[in-house]
Amino acid sequence: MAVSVPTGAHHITLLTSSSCFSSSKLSSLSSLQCHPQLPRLALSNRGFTSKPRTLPIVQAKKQAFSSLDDLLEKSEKPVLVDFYATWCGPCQFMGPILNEVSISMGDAIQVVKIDTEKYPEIANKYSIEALPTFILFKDGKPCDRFEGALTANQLIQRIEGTLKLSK
Amino acid sequence: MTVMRALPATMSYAVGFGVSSFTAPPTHLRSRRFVIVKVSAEPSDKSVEIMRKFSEQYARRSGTYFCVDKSVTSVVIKGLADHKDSLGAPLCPCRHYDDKAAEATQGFWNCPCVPMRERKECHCMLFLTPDNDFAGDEQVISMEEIKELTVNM
Repeated sequence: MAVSVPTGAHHITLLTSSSCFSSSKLSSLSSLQCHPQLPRLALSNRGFTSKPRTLPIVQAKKQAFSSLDDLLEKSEKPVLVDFYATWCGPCQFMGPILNEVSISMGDAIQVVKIDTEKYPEIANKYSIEALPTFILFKDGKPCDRFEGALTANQLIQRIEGTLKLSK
Repeated sequence: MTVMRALPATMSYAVGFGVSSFTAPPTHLRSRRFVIVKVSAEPSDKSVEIMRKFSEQYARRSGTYFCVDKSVTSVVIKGLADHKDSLGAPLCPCRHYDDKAAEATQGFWNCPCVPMRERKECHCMLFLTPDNDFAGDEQVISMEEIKELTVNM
């Protein structure tokens, strides 16, 4: 997946399957490569700062898509999107839980986290208010939406329940 | 192409927006074309202390308890402090807003927010009623705890 930025396009880097610091666990996640070092990416688009932005290094899988819509369109699996903020306690609490769920559900879903402070446009598009808000997308369309922290089991049950219904 | 090392979370890091202070780079770097801008990613200690004290007092007053996982409490206290620093008021950190400054002025979501004051509803999991699954049995949290539990942010 190319990380280069064509002129004029806007790129969003989405953190997939949450921060995971154990390389052995990454094998069960998507087959994309890790980017241990990120070059400076210039992000320029309406709604984003036009100054070059240096992205911090995260040891999780990062992919560049032209937009969340692009990711949702291209994904063959259902996508669980977690809208969060840095200083939201329950959002941080869900970090390890999302990791666990992502691993135990394996190829059944893809987990994506969106920092609502970095990407307020996306948050506004989906009318996000309380954090964390989770939206489960199937075939590119939202099919479930819920707020607040929950345990790994509750989350798995909710996702599987929704996916069974929509089959 | 410049490559960045992973930075520990407690350090300030250079970003292209939200400049709050400028510090002259050390002499050995001044000969290169570096502009190092320090942006504080952390709330001020003073605000954290204020929000820590407020949280303890308000938990006592409302008969609510902190989360069994005190890192949740710590993150929220820092979030409140962060908004106090940037907006002048402790706006709820567990919400997405169209216009933060307007919300801080309006006040509905300033901690303690209206839902908390009226119905003891705190979706930040800062103040939990005893019947809540996540409620612990403490109404105290120290500055050391807050610092330890948010060291990897």
